[in-house]
Amino acid sequence: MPTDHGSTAAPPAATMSPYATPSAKKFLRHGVHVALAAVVIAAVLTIAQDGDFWVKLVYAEAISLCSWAAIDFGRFLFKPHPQTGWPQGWRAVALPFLGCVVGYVVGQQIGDAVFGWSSFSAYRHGHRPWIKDVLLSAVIGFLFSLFYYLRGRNAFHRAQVATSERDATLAKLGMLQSQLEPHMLFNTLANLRVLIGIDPPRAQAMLDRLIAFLRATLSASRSNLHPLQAEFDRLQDYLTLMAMRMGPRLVYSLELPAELQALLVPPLLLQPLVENSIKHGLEPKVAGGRIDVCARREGERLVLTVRDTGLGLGAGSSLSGGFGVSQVQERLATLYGDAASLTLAQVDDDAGGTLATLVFPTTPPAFLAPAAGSTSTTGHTA
Amino acid sequence: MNATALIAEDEPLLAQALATDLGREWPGLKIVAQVGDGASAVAQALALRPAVCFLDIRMPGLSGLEAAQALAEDWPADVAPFPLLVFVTAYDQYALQAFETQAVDYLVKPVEASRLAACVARLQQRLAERSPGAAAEPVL
Repeated sequence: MPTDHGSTAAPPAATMSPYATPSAKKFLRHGVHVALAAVVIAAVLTIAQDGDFWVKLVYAEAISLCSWAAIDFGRFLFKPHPQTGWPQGWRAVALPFLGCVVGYVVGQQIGDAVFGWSSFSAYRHGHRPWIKDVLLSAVIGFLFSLFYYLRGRNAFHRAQVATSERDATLAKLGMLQSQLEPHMLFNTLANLRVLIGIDPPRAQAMLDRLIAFLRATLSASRSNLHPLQAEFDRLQDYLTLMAMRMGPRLVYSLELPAELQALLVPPLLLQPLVENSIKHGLEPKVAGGRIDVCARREGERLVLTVRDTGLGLGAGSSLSGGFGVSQVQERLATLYGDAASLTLAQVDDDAGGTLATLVFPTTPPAFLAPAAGSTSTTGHTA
Repeated sequence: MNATALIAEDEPLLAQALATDLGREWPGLKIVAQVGDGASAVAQALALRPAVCFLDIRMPGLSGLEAAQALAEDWPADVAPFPLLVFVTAYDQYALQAFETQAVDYLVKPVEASRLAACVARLQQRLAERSPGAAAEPVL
């Protein structure tokens, strides 16, 4: 089934913390939180220290709001990290500290202006221990900053998880959709319809192949690993159907040594390569050609090759940019990192065409280790 | 009514089926050529000058649409009338382009018998209009 719709998968956008960009709504919300917290602080101080609640409230609001403004706006002066909304390095600590100092000084002045006295002269004359006030301010400021920093980081992580889950779902859907491409189905059914009239036993055999292929497609999109034999069975079904359609223009061979049959591999790694060979190599070639799929082991690695005698890579079609090929490369990178590779090369012998070579470790990635009974057995079930 | 036709279809079973179905719907239609790619379709159509061409769209080399265009460019209009074109394909997205080539019909695979019958009726009517009174004469 054609998987190349001429579009390549776009790289996922980097997730950002929602606090990394300035937003009037967020500022307002933070400001309201701080103002409310200042009321609580003033109440606690009134109970703890005696004195006028309203005086304490005015000072608490003035200092808190000034500190908050200095920190919340100041973090954008310091270029916040996109993942946390907070500056990095020494600035991460300097910001709340400076913000609290600035906020304390300015806020104190505002409070003084409201009540018409000077706190600084009180400090100078020893009437008020300024160190206690400053420390109180600093601790509260630091706690608030820590709270907002952790919340920003948490929001970023949640956004990241949501994006990953969405990408995984989209990838699975894309894979399923590319396998059940309607034109392939309609063309195959059209051929089957003809066969029913002229060669009913062959039509039944072909229909069995189509059923097995569709069943394998569904289970492949659900499972993470299946035996290499299952993958080859599926290729056989697909190539038999394509040979029915292309007639003498398609000849194929599949070679899987007995000792590799039970090896567990991720599904649908070979299928897009075979489809590409047919779609870009053989179908557009008037004379058609052949496809040979082989599996062999080289030490701890599995080498799978798909060779076609089609038009080859220089035929003008964007074979390397095809959706199927790039999707296989992405999946390999996700599953095996650097230990796997997919290379496409022009073949330089008389028959020409393209050779796709897929190499990856024989041991499946640890995070795909199958639970009991979760691997699919795609046999020709009746 | 007698007439000649060319079938261009790269999938042999479908080509065979179309020929069989046409034989049933239009006994007087003679299939003078059956090819599997666009370039051969153009070559054979220019050589044999059929009255009708049934063209698949997705074919190796030239597509059916490209073949129709090449045929229009090279057709000796003063010698014989341009053949009636019918596109037969599994893809419905080419209908607009097919319309621009002034195709007589656009059949979606698999072709139902009733739909083919309607197409045949349309073709016969167009051929009859082309040369009134020629319905009983063999068209080369």
